[in-house]
Amino acid sequence: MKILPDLCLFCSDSCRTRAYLSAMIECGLLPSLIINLKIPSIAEERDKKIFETSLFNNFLEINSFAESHGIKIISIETDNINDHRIINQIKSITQKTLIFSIPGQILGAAYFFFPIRYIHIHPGKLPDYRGSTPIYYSVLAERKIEATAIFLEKRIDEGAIIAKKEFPKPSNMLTIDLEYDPWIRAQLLKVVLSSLDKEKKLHTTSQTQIKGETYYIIHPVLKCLALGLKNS
Amino acid sequence: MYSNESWESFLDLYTNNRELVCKQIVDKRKPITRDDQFIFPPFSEAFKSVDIIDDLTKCEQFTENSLRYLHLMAQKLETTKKILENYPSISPHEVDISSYIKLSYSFSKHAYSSLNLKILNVLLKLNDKLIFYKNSWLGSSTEFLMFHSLSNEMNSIKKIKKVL
Repeated sequence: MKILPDLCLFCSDSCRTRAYLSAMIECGLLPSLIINLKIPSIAEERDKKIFETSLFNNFLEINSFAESHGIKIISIETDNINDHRIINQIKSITQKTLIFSIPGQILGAAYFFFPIRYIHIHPGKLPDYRGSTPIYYSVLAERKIEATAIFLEKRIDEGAIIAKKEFPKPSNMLTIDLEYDPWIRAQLLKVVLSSLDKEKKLHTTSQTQIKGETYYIIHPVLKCLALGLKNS
Repeated sequence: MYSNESWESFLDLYTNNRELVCKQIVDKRKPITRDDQFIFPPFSEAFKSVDIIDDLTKCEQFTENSLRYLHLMAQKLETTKKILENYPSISPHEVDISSYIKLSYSFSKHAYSSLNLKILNVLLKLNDKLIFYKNSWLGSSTEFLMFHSLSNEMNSIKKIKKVL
């Protein structure tokens, strides 16, 4: 295992984070710091369900992971990701590249006032599918699933693109939310980590401001269609 | 409306619910539309009055300009759940439900003709709410618009099912 001194994982306990930790183990590249937020949110509550999946180790526990690999961990309890305590903590760290893994939370403008880059893996093709639940919209419109790695910016999903990857539809579409979505993000994260390790500098492509669509949380009827469910 | 339903039975519940509401609507006459080029105000005026919604309801076909308004309304509704920026001082609490019905009908026309997923998504959400408040509009002068909105919505879903 190789520790990347400039890399920090900024996360909360979720399926996505557990998929990311699994991916880091698989590619042998680990962060030198983990900032673990304990933040009550709907996404967190849903993601707390721990179940077995063949796609990643969903039983990984953040503290044990950090301890077993000698990674420093900072845990913060908060009900607001934009709490100044967290922003000050981020400002004070030496790592300049953060992997963002806090479902359902949006970084406020204050996070972008200092020279830290936040890597986010969006489960949709950018700039075509910005916003919420892009997997389902993408399946409905193109029958495709794609993930895009970006650097976060103040404007949601409009940051520079680091990498993209297309994935097949899962055999069981009902696993998308808690298994397949975290897994595709983790697969792309491995590509990004590998580039970060080999090239030190990540090459990016800026998103054109004109092209692109922002989607809002999908209605359950459209979700059913994307899942391939039919009337009886 | 949909709570505690499994994904597998969800579409049945949706279809049954929508069909039941359509049966309860008495006035099913066809809305009158015109192919006039409606003149819309500048975007800065978009959310200040419901007049634009009246014009969108009457559009036979959406022009590039009217479509921009339709999308703007959809975005406004998705993000704020409202259709106006500031509510009229004489009625500070609610814009009349008929404005929401007119908007729903306008969304449905475009959703059916284009299968635009963003518009269909906001239409489904808006119609869920309007059905929840159906006692406020059943038997009213705008119930026929609601009938056509729900029909267009269900037909859009059928079209997507065929394509998939």
